[in-house]
Amino acid sequence: MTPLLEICGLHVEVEGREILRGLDLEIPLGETHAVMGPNGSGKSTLAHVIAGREGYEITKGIIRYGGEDVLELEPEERARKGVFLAFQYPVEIPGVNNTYFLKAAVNEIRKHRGQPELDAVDFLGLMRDRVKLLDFDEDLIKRPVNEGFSGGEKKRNEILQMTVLEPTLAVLDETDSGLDIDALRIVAEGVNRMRSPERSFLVITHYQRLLNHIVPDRVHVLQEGRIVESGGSDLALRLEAEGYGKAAAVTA
Amino acid sequence: MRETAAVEAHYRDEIPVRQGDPFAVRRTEAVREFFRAGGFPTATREDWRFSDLDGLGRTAYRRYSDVPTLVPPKTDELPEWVGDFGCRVLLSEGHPLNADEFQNRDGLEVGNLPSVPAADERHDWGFVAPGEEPGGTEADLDAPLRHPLEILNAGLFECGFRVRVGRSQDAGPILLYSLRHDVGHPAMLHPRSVIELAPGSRLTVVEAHDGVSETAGWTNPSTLCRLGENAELFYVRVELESGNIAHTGRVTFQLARNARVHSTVLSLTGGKSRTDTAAILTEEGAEVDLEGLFLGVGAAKADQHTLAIHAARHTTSRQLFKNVLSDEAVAVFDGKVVVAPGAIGTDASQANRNLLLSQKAAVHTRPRLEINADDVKCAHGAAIGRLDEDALFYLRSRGLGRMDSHEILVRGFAGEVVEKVPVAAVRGLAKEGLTRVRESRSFAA
Repeated sequence: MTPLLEICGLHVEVEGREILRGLDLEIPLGETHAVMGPNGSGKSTLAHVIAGREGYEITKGIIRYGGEDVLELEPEERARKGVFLAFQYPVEIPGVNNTYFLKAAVNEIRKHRGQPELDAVDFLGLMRDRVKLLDFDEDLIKRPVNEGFSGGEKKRNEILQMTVLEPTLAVLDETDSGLDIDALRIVAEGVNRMRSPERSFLVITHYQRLLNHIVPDRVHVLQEGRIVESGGSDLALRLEAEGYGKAAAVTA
Repeated sequence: MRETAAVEAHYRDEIPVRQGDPFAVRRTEAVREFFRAGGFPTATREDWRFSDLDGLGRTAYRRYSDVPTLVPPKTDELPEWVGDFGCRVLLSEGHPLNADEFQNRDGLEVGNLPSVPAADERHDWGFVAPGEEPGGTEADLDAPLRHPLEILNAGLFECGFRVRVGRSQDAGPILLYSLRHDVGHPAMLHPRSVIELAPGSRLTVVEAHDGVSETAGWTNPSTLCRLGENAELFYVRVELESGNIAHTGRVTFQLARNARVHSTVLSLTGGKSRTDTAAILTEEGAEVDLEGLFLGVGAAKADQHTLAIHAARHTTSRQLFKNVLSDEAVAVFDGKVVVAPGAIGTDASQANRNLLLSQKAAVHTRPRLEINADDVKCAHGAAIGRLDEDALFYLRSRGLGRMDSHEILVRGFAGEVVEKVPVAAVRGLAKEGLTRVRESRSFAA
């Protein structure tokens, strides 16, 4: 069966500097994969390129999602096809109400799927439900997007958006950074609750800590723009004990 | 260019002659004063650097009342939003359109200023006649009334609006709507309006200037708002004129003890406008919020001048002016705060924020503080920026289209001013303005 996400020989440059240097990665539908790597290994570039951010030059390679080459697709087209990126640094958007924004997003995606748009009442019902599950402060959904949110609230808002948008592929870019242990648990529970045979996750992280809570099917080590090692969830524990230098040595 | 003497003669001929006008002599003096002080201000004057009116002086504008073919529009030809106001006063080409419908009850008086005021109403007209000693102190409290175009208005005014709210009354929203049309020759309008709030009263009022003209036109309205002790005014000014109409308008607030003003100027003009908003905080505890939003598309230009005079202790002024500029739109913000000697405990802030959506749009911003007292809090700042790329990607990554994402961010930026406007019909006009921004050539280009 075709993997949900298939990345082959991906080379990416940012302002003339090569960040990804022949990255290969496959995630079958229904699986959760972790990509771990030290700072500067290209983790966030990988997340942004999957989501379609401008400003990255793809010099070689291919990204297929659901069997389709998505490199030419705009970020919104990928999102409507079910790709979701939880940002490492969620953006504050003054003057734009969280609920209004999410309702517009949900309805764009529903329109794409040929589903009827949700009206205000249905949408609020959906939001209430999800807000409760995530132990999210209900007042926050009435505020402007991420404005004045604490670090933990921003990350929880990302997960809230994910649960409302119900993506097929969710990419979590260092969602654990800046979270205390309680917030980490809540975020992880939110993710675990969504795991299903119809959905895949790509969890990008620097630390093994998050993977105690979201146990991945596969772990990949990203170093200097390439996947240098892949293994089961125990690989994360070994990395934590031995550091990234060892992994590089193994492949050398 | 025509000789100054000829221009002055032209405007003196345009002074309305009314049987029994007690101000006939003063009108002539005002026009003379205007020209003696230099006539139409040009860019060589500091306050007019970005709003050169030389062009106005070159055009022989005439009053509408000289046009025999004038046919006032029927009320059902007015834009739909006007119908949202239960209480409204309409001017067409400067002439009262619904003169019979004025509401005068329970201490509330809504109508037109008469074109021939009674002699004892001199005070109501609020202007300082040329040669008259300004009632000012060191803070020059009458500075706004000695604005050159205010003086010219005092010579040429014909009609306008009058609202009086009695003691402890709560009134509004009231619409004061002035509409003009293209009459095929350069026409000018000088409406003069007075809004008075008795102590403890409250009023929401919308003053709107509308109309389209391909022929050159000029609108030069003056509005004076006087607030008694503890009165509260929500004032919204909407500038909708487009085409080839130049707008030079002024609104001046005089506040007594603990009076409060919340003012919003919405420039939705397609033409060129300059608006001078002045607040004179004459007694302790007076507070003003002066806000403005310009949604500029095409070659539109809006010039916002503000003046907050803190003449007493413990007075507060907060200014927030925002501009959204697409295409070749130009915005000017010249904001001034004056703290008079002895006005301790003054709290003044001023912010001008600009969103540029096009390479060709431009902003000139100049905050000015004149502080002559100790123990005061004064803050000011200006920002000029483009839409945040991170925010655009964030929205698009959630499935929102490129154009929609741009629009959401622009609406968010404008919302800070729009959402505070206490009249739904006016918020609707701002939303229409935002739609024109989205449809502008440079949007998301």
